[in-house]
Amino acid sequence: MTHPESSSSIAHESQYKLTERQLSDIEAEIKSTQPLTSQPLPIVALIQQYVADPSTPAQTQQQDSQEWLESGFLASSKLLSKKYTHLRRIRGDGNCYYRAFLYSLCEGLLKRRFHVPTDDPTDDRELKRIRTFVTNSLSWVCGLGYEETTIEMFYDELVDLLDFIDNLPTCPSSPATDSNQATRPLELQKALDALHHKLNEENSTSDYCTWYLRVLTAAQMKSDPDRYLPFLLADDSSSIMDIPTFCSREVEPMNRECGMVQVAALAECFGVRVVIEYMDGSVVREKEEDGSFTFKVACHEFGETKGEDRMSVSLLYRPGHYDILY
Amino acid sequence: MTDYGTELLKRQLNELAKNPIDLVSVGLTDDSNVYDWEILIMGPDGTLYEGGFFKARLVFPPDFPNMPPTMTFTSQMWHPNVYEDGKVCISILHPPGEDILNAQEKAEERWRPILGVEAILMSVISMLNDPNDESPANIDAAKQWRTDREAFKKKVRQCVRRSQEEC
Repeated sequence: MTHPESSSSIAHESQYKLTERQLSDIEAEIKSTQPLTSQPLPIVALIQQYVADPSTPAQTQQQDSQEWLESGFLASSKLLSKKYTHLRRIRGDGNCYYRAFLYSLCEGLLKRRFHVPTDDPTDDRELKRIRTFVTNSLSWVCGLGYEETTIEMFYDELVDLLDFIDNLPTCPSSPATDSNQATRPLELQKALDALHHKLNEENSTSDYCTWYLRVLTAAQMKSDPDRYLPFLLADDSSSIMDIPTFCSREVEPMNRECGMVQVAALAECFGVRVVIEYMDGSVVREKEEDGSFTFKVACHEFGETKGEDRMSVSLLYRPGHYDILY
Repeated sequence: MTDYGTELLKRQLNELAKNPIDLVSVGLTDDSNVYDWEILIMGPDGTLYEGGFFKARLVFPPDFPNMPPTMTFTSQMWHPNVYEDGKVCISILHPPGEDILNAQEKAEERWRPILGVEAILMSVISMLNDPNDESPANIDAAKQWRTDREAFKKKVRQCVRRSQEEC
């Protein structure tokens, strides 16, 4: 390749700056229009997204194949509305999987402190287990080659967040009795609001913890290459054949989207279950025992799929994006 | 809003003061602003830059460490990977993601929050040791490095002498 004259060096520089500016404009637009995490929306909001807008003139409707795809999404959203009641949207900035995982996990841990949904007073053992794992993770991660001085602040943030959850007041100062049953939902709502506020602050907890979740994901992959390498080899679209390269390119930088291998690694290192509904415009037809057919949205489980007491996170996947399901 | 970045930079500055890297000294341009560093780099022995004292500024964006800082030599510099205005163009200082304009650059070498300032400074030293003419910032310098090494050396020696005088 021959190099053009130096004038194009300037052109290259300004083109680069232009691209940079465009990217930061898009980023700013997303930031100003989408909260990090929305309030929970009734699941019907998902269906409404795929109902054709009656105000759209007929001639601007998409091609046939596009319509078919749209109807697939509509069908999937209707199927999901039978299984779930609410949806919480996550900002589409490439960090959505980590943010969704973090939010849903923290919310679940907090609810369990209020004995929701089970009413089992030993429900906080998952919080204890996960705290122990996170507390011990710094030395594990450093043993895998990460610099303590650069990541210990990220680590501190996740530990602090778990402390925050542990310290939010639950109303019953004494064991649950009939008299305080009634006030419990109010206290729970207050605690959930406090968590929502904390995880929705810009340039704050949600970002900091995302950095550390990315480190944990990478560490999990590096700690067990035999387990995770086949995912990379199976993915035709990826030309990356080794885990350290994959981690530094796809896991460690902010705003890099999360593929199946990261989902599996993060769920497995926390020892929790992650249930993902895959909404890609198609539905799965399943034959029932009585010979009839039912339609389902493809659903995959990752991480701890046995132990019923383990935390479980349910997410909705649409191409390139994750949201939380309830 | 950027408390975290501030704290992280303070820690890294302290760390570099306690355990300095060979050939580099760091400080703040203005003591009240931890997002603007002044760097002095000594040209590594055995390279064309040997004997030079090159000053540079390392400026961190408000969303550090999501995004990398920019580094600009304030001393005159002649190097394939340094723009004529002094701006350093190496992978670690580029935001993550693919860059269609720069296909030779490997994405895994780009910035990510877990890298520290130390990693950046090491990359700059390594850049002085080993110019990368595959993806040049200064095309004229890259061309000269490739085709007329003697003229390239002469120009670098001028920069070195000048940096010594300015020191």
